[in-house]
Amino acid sequence: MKRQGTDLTRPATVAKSEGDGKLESVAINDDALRCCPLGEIRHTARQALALNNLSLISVDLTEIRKIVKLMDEHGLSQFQFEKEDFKLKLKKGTDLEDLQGLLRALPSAPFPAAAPALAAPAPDGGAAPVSEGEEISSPMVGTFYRKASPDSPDFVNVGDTISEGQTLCIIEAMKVMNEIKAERSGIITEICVDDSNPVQYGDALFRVK
Amino acid sequence: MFSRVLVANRGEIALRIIRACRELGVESIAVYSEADIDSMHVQLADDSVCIGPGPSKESYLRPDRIIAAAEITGADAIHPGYGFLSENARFAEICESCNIKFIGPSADVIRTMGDKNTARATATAHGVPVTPGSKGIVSGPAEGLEIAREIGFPVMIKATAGGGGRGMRPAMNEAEFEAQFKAASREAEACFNNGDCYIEKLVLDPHHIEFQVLADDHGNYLHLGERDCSMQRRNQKIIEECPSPFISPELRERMGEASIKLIKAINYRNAGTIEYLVNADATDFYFMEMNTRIQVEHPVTEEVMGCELIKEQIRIAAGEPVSEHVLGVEARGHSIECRINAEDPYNNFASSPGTIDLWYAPGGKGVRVDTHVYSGYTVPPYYDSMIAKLIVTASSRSVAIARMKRALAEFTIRGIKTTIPFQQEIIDHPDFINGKYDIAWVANFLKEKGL
Repeated sequence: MKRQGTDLTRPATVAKSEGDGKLESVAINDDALRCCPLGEIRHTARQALALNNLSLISVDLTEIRKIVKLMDEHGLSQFQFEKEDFKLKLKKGTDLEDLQGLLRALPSAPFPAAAPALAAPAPDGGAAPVSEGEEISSPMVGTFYRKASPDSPDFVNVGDTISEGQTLCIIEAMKVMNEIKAERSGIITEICVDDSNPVQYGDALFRVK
Repeated sequence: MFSRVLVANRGEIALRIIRACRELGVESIAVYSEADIDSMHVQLADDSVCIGPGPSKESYLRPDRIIAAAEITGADAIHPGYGFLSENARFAEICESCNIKFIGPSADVIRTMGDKNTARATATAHGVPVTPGSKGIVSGPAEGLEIAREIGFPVMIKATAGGGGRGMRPAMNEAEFEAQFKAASREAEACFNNGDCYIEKLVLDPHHIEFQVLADDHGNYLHLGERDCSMQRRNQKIIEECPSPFISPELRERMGEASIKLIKAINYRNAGTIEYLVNADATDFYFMEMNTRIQVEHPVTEEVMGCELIKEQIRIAAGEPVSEHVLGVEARGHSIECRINAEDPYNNFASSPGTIDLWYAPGGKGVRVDTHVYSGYTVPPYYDSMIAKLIVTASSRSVAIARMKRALAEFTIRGIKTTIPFQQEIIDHPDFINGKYDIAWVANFLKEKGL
């Protein structure tokens, strides 16, 4: 689970995974590289894999740590590795969206494997790309679903106009499907959680303007 | 053994449980309110889930959110700690129905011992002495007097609908009985709309002595000695010690036997504590209540009896027997605990929440500090004020007292007020040094000092 707030051992890893069962990336926090316990990386990786129902393939996590160290030493911010069914992408520093935004501003077209300049903050002032609008945060703990059932369409999409009382998503807990309804009307600018992901109290679900 | 245990609590006990889990090779999951985001128990757990805003009613007391957190993290057991939902039979039932092991006794046992009347009746039924009393409501002062004569003065007249000390009057002798009875009844009628009263024997200057018990699924029922918790302010314990300087070996044996008899009879499981009142002459003991959970002051028992109670709780819940080294263990040495609260003892114990900008905890031989607090931590205003437990252990009671004196003097907590200076006064007091204190001691001490 993602952790927020100031703390002594800052959250070292945030795992993001695509809905189709691939581990997309493990973003490593710069400062934490120095003091990140191996257990933390292992744990986050395991979590991300478990969420996507993958068994823990024999990934040598000591190897991952070595790679991360090398990246740090050489100022690399991205590392990609593919082998049979296993794909590993490590990126450090800013968000993928930032990275892509930054790349678009650079002259070269392909995704560079090593680009020290990418360690710089994004052109819009260093803030992570947050869509405009107010945040709708989770009022409960459970699993977030974007649709009523696997065959149904999503309740809402980015750009949709919503009205007060409209069902935005379902959060399931203890086998009970709870419909989360909009408290006011507006337009969805961002969907913050992927389908079937767990959410804790206070997690951002949507942004609405 | 479980693979993941969710800790449904906060503060020092949550951290205590997480540490035990780590040593057992079990993953721990912390749940926390938004006010506890910086708490050490969240930092050190293997995983954490936010379950609500600050107020306990919207977070730590929400069974639905706690169970949901267990679901999404794949926890196979929940340790409820103390307070909050630890003695909530309904919560234990929900865990059971969700196939999550509740680390404690069954919902039925919690229910039986949780209701004071039922608990008293259960104790009586199994030969454990309870404070003598009327068998239910008394019709009026005349019947009350009859029963009081039978029980023997002094007695306490208690309103059945009463609470918070209201509707209670002591009657020290026959002469004042009728007046006191009418007064109690009138007050109860005014406050609770119900003037019904019952009678209980008044134990003068009682001592609070509790026994730690343990029972597993392999037929082991044992007690691990007693703790003396008589040093209380308004029914809140502030200093506890093991063993009790007050009871004799003979009384200890009688109380221990009664405790084991009771837990066998109710088919108790896991850890628990039976609380007794002992009279001023240390000749009689009376069952007060049973706490079907781990207690705040469990460390003093751990130190003297050489056991790890939280680990035993987890083991028993996982179906393992009580550890070999705990069965047949003997007391060794003496241990004293001070509960350090964020309160100003010289200002009527007013709460003192705020940021601690310097924290230096004592150390050295025989000093143990159980806390979730650290330098820079902000004590939130939503919860009870206990921020740390200082436990010292030594070969004898006198050395333990010297050690507690040293440890309290070393303890530096800057930024908030704490009860440390008050506890220093108590530790230095001849009454404490001589082991001559009862439940009324702190109240008298405060009165003398004009606090």
